[in-house]
Formats: sequence, structure tokens, C-alpha cells
Amino acid sequence: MHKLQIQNLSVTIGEKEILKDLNLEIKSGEIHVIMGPNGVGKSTLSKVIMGDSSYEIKKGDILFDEKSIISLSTDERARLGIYLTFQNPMEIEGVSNVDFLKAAVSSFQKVNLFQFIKELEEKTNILKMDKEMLNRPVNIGFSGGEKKKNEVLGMYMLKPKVVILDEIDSGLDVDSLKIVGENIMAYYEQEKPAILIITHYQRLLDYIKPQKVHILYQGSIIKSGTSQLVTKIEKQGYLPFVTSHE
Amino acid sequence: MNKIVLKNNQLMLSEIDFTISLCSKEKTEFKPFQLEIKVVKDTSLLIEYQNEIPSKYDIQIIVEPNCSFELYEKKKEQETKIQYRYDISEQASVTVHKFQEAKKIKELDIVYLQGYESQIDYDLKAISFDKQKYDMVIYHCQSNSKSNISNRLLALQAGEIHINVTSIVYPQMKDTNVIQNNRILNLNNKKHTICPNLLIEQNDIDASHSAHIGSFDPATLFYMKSRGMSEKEATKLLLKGFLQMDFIPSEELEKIIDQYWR
Repeated sequence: MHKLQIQNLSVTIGEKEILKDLNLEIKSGEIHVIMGPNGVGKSTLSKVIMGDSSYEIKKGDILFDEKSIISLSTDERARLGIYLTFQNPMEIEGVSNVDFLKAAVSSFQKVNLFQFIKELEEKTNILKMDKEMLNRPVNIGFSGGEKKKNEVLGMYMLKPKVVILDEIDSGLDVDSLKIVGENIMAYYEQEKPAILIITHYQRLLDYIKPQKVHILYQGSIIKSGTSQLVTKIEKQGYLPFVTSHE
Repeated sequence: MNKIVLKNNQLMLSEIDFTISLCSKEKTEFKPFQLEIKVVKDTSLLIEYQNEIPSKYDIQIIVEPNCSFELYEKKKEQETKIQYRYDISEQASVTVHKFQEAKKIKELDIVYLQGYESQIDYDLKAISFDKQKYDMVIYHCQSNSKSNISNRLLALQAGEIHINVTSIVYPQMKDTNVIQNNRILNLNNKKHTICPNLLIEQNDIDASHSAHIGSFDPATLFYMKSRGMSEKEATKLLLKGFLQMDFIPSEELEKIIDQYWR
């Protein structure tokens, strides 16, 4: 059982405060969703958990299995088992996808090349990705859907304990959304990680069923509830929640 | 593949077949060692420089009509001055792959795209530890000619890089295609320059140029580290990607990077 805790977290970039006294706790086997209008700090939260040095933590703490991780570097946090899928995955010139994933897996454990290739091909098939994409430079010339599938492929290969999905559903057509959603759920059934989903829409939640939904506004969680909260947001928008908060 | 070795201002070895003819002139007090390479059929050639003393070469490459020529060049740790002149005929193409890990280099490449549909694809990768100066001039002397120039150089230690690339398209040279991509990966905080010039006197052409001097992109490093790679592993992988060439085996490139990047 693993646990990620965010305690009274306040974060700034430059002079601007993005997160204010934010609290959140996610355990293995739990799926949480964070929703909210644009620019309220959803992506910032995912990057701060991962240790992006562009942001400054002014107050509070992030704990993984009861130990503070805010002094750890990004790669150390990743090696603890925290995995972030990027909203806009980076394109890396000259580095093939297979070399990239091999280097990533090698940083966790000694790679058995035969097993690695076998697993990579198997997961590529499941994700309905063209095998040729493994030899292409990371994310270069990939469509939006292919980039997101590539993020899920990375998740399969690294087997994280905490998965943070930052708008994994953006740029996906209906078929790709189904593949991505079903594969995340398959990984969840298999490994029971803690999952934090950041999204604007309900459509991903047709495939991934969350236990808790949170609304983030002005850097703080202003309301938490069950998956029924998503239906309310879809119907009413954020305004009623924001107005009652103010 | 045909092969020649140039060492200390001399031609030390030539293993060539009927597709290439060579003509050389010894170094004199006033002129450097001169070599004329004439390509008469589709072929490839590897030039290796093994200088132990500062050396100077003047090399002319003439490619006959309808020939496809691949030139590979390797240089290592030597002080060298080289002038290349390429004369490319009608419907002939030249592809240049150069890999250099060297100290002082001064190189001038002059390309004459003399024939209709003549073409050059030029790909230079270099690691620089000292002053390096590259001047290139590409003359589009005929319609439908194409040039695609890619220079990617890595500055380490005392490396200082200056690149000057000038592409010239004369009037009436229609449907020409001019591409320049120049990049210096600055890992020593020295001053480097890139001057990409396009001198075009014709409207009906495709042209683009890019020049970039900088270090690793922090967002890319963050992405790689979020996959568990340490900064050292991530930068090594990026360097390998930056410098890789098909004719340099992956293991050899890794050794070179390990040697210089700690």
C-alpha cells in the first residue's frame, strides 16, 4: 500500500501564487479526479508533485509513503514510482523511442533485453501502435493520439505506483480515447496504483471510474465529492461552485 | 566503399575502384596539397584524416552528370585547414556525411550546383575543443537545383565555433530549393556565432534557414528525468541523439561521449 499526501501546499512562480494551502491524499487502489476552469493550477500541481524546479514551494509538504519528497530531484521521485503523463509530451530529436524507454527502464532495474523487447512489442500491440514508432525519434511526427498512447506505453514499461494523468484525453479522437482509457483501467486492475486524473471533460471517465472528484479553483480544492459531481459540473459548469465558494 | 587516407599533407592510402579517378599534386611552398576526385559512376568514398602535424588540403570533387555520390569524412584531434570545392553536374547528387572530433579546424566548402536538377545534402556533426571556423558558399547556378545543409556542432572545453553559410540563387534559377539548418550546442558558455545568409535573386523558389545556439532545453530534461533518468543519463542520451550518424557505430559514439562528457 502506497500513499501520496499533499499537505497545506502553497506554490509560486515568480511573484504569482498558483497553489494555496492545497491538501490531498491518494492511496493505492484509489482514483481521484481534479477538475476546474483553465488557469487554476491543475497542471502546476502535477508538475510540482514531479519536482519541476520552475516552481517554488512556499509552504507545506508532499509526502510519499509518509516521507517528504520535496527535497528529492525529479528523477528520484520518478524512481520512487511516481509517473506523470504530460499534456504536451516533449519531442526529442535523434533519440529513438526504444532507446528512450530502455534508458528509462534501466534507471529502475537492470534490463533483460529479450524480456524488454518482448514486453515492449506486446504493449505496443495492445495500444494499437505501429511498431515502426518504436524506432522513430521520441514523439517526432506523432499525432496527438500517438503521443498520448506513447505516454501510456511508458506507464506500462515503468510500472509506477502513482500515476498522474495531466489531460491525457486532450487531442484524442473517440477511438484513441477508448484505447487510452481502457489501457489505463487495465493497468489499474493489474497493479492497483494510485491514480490522479486532471481533466476538463467527463468523456475519459466513461472508461476510468473515479472514487473521488475534486474541484480546484484559485489554487485550492473548493469541493470534493463522488463521481456524481462530474455530472453536475457537466450540466451546470463551474459557476455555481465558484460563486458559493466566493 | 572506396577509401582514401590523408596524413601530414600527403595521400597515404587510396583504395578506389573504376567509379572514381584521383589526381594529386604535392604540397609546395606556395600551395597546399591538392587532390582532384572525379566521380564517373554512382559510388561512395570515405576520407580519413590522420594528421600528426598541422596540415592543409585543397580538395576538388567533380561529379559527372547523372551520378550519385556519397562522401563520408572522419577527422580526429588535429589542426587542419581544408578547402573543398564541389562541382555538381546535371541530375547529379552529392550526399556529404562528416564527423569531426577535433581541436583547431578551418574549413571552406564551396559548392557549385552547375547542372539542372543537381543536388547536395550536407550533414556535419562535430565536437569542438578549440577554435573552429566553417565557411560554406552554395551557388545555385541552374534551375531545379537543391541544397540541404545541416551543421550540428557541440562546443566543449575551450571550443569556439563560428559558422558562416551563404546560399546564393542567381536570377532565372527557377524552382530551386534552399535549406539551411545550423545548430551549436553550447556546453562551455563560450561565444559562438552562426551567420546564415540567403542571397536570392529569384522569386519562384523554396527557401528556409534556421540558426540556434544554446544548451539543453530544460523542459526536455524535465521530461526525461520524470522517466527516472538522472541528469547525467539524460544529457548523455541527448548528446548521442545530437551527434549520431549512420556511419558511426553506436558503441563508438558512446565511447566518444563518455570520453568527453563527465
